[in-house]
Amino acid sequence: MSAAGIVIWLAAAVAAVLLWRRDRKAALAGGRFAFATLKGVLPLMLLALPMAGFLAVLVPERFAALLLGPETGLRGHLVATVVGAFIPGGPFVSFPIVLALWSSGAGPAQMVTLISAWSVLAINRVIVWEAPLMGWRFVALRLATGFWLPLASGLAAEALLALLPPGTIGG
Amino acid sequence: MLGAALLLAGFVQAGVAKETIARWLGAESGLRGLLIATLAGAATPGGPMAAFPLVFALAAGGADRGALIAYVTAWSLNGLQRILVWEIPILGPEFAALRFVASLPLPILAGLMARRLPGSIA
Repeated sequence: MSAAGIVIWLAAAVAAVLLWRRDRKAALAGGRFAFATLKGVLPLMLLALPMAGFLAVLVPERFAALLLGPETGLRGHLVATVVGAFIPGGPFVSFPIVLALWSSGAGPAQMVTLISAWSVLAINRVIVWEAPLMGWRFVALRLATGFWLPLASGLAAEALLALLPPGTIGG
Repeated sequence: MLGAALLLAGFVQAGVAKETIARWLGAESGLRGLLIATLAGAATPGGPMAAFPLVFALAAGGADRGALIAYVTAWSLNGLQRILVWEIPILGPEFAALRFVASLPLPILAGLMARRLPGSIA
């Protein structure tokens, strides 16, 4: 297990102990909530991870590295923005796609851009949920204020990666 | 799920006085309002069927467009539940931390932009 994984388990343990001492019922409810979430997530995860593996084999290595590799600069971030905007579905679809691209040679900062584009631009979500419920004026306002966010997050990630020792975030 | 979200939105609107939402998230709420909206967005679990009815309720309750944009942006970029349940297990805690930090200021910036753009919504 990675160091960060241990930190998260420790944080969960500390939260459990603190809550248990303050309010046992709430602590039990928290545990039940986590278990219920796990029951819902596990079947999807069992599909998602092999899907990422198959996709990684299907995506030609040169293709991901050429279009989205760490050295592709601004063009790579723009490609990631377009690809991310059109990925439909929840995190059990998008994150395995990101994992597959990443292990086929895409750069981590480009993958930050891609996830932001999937989160913020989300063409599919705009059409199915946002426009019907909030109206196109709200959609226009949100896209006008949000179109630059994927690129900004990706470039911020590039800057952060430059500060970290190489290999901190491996593929 | 959608039913529950709509009920929740209804209760928010019925239970929280309009002045309260307007004071905390209204046009005069300043940077603090954007910060509150950002925290609330990151804390909102679930998909669009849960978040958008809440946005709708907040808009009807007097939240200004800067706060609404900050809320939606924070929910979509840095929803904590998605990070904990999906991103960390699939992509690893190091990548999740990199993305989280790189996206952290963006909801506030988008909210500030929304307040400065001309025109009005709902």
